[in-house]
Amino acid sequence: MTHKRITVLLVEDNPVYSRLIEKLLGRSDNPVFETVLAGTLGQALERLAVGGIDVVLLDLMLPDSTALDTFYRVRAHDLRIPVIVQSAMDDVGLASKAVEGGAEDYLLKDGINSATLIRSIHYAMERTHARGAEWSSAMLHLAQQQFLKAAHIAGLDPNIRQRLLFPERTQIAALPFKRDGIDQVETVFAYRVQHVLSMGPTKGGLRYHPEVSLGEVAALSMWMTWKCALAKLPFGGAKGGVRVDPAALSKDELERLTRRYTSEFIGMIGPDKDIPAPDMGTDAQVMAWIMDTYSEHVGYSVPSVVTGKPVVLGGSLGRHEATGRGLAYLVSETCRQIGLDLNGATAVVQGFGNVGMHAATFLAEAGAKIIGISDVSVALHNPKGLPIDLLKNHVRQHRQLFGCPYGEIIPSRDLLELHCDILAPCALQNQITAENSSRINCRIVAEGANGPTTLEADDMLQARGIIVLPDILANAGGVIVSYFEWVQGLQNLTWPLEEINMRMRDILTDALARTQRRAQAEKVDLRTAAMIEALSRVGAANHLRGLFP
Amino acid sequence: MSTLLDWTKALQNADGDEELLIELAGVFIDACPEMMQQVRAAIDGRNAQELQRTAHSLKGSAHLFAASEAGAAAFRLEEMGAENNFRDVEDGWNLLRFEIEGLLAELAARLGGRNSDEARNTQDS
Repeated sequence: MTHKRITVLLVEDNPVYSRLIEKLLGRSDNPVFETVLAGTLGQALERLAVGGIDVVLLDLMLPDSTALDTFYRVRAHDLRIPVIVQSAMDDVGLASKAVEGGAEDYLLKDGINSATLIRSIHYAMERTHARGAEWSSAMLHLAQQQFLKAAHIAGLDPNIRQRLLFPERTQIAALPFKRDGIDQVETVFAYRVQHVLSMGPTKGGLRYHPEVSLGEVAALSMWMTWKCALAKLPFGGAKGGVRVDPAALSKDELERLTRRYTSEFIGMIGPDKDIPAPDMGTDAQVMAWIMDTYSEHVGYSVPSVVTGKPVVLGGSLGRHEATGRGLAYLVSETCRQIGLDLNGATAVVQGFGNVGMHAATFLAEAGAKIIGISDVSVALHNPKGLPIDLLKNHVRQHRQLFGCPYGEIIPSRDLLELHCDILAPCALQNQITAENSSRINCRIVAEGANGPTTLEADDMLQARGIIVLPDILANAGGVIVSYFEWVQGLQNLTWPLEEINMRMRDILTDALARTQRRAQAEKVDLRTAAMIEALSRVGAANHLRGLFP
Repeated sequence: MSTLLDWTKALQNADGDEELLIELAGVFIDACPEMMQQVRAAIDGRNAQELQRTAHSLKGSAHLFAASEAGAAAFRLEEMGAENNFRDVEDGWNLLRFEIEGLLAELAARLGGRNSDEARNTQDS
């Protein structure tokens, strides 16, 4: 039997520690570790240039480099080699910064033993390898780094931490469906992932997009877990996706694809198992097809297998616009707290899809002046305020904002930098970055999109006193009303819109208040506080259920 | 139990392996003079960053042997380096030297007659 060999570059100037680590690693015979020593950063970089290093164990305080500089210079050398930072007890803050910056883990020097050392190396390599293969996704990386940051601060049990970094259950299918008119079968990749199964059934959207990958779906399922836990909904997170461009398909093709998807994943979904909902590229009609296919399969109608259905099939009032409405509720509550009058305040909304359009609508309804808005085709600016209803009419006719005469066209990248009170990125991930965050010019950022702000930008916004309402809170309105739809379906009840909106508002303001209390108590930003709030709930549930067998 | 170090705790830091701990003591006894020299050079050169780093490194070794007083003395110098404050640095140095000498003597005694080179050679053979 051949044993796996792992070459560890140990960057450490303290000879006592180098010897300790070398000896601890030497105890393992599978894998077999070969330790290469470097006492300075210069030596380490030289050795890395030669190649063949599987993992770096890095002390941050070296004769020729100190603190985070050390980490960033190693990182800059090669992004693919996992780095584990070694830290003394009193330097944990520094080490967790390195983890935020992309280190895979940190190890406390005090009380190190061969089991924790080898386990940490093993997991760091596993994670890097998985990301490099089918899990490769910047979004998953961001979701995992956000989670690791909160997990370190919250002191989450390391056993649970590793479990939560990837989805618990994943299914990939190569999905064939017939194209129209021609004798052609197209095969696309499809995914369904369930991140956490211990909180109840899982819940999450189904996305049709040409760039969907397993990593992206996994990241989104993770955010769903935190969103549900933060709102105290009895769900774990899930997500599904099909790597296809829905705009290139006819309605019949879309239906065949959707029914095939449902049939392929029928063992995973169900009203008590996993409940899909609309997401990018899917809508109420797609949900209706899923419901019909599932119901045909079991022999009776099961409306609660999906949410975001058409109202006539058991969909909930208010579901379609729920995410945008929830965002507006949270902005309104935050304005009240900081003494900013929303009536007359200025707002910029990036994105004019379901979330952006409704966020703009409800912010405008509350009296805010929408001075900037964009979609994939154009960015518009009007200091006097844009007429949202007229924009909606234009999009209904032309599908895009382009050509609409109500504002001046500006470069898309300038939109986020407009001077305003409220900035709502409701389009894509990675929009507010270290590069542009110093030019963000607002009081409140309300994240309608998932992951629009990078971790570095988060720190910079916080330092400038800009309030960031994080995605898992700011766009949770959708899943909250999905929950109401599921509950109404199971009870065969329908609630009036007023009741739905009131209940959603209560849940969101309660989640905001808990997040703010957590942020104050832990002295962290709202995103980290929301994550801690959410993962404490998931951690507690996991502990109570225990581990089978 | 010695007040200079806590052997039981130190053993935990070496994964419960006494032979390894003794080997590490040998490494420390050999490396310590140079580490101390580096601290002294940083003080003489009024090089705050270097003082912080070298004292930090010594502190790490002291923690490994659960030598809390030596660790505290090193930490004091590390802080002086971090704050670029050399006012009480000579006091700090004297204290560190005192504690480290005590620790070295204690470790040498633990080596139980084996001198440090022998200890290392045993492991290297």
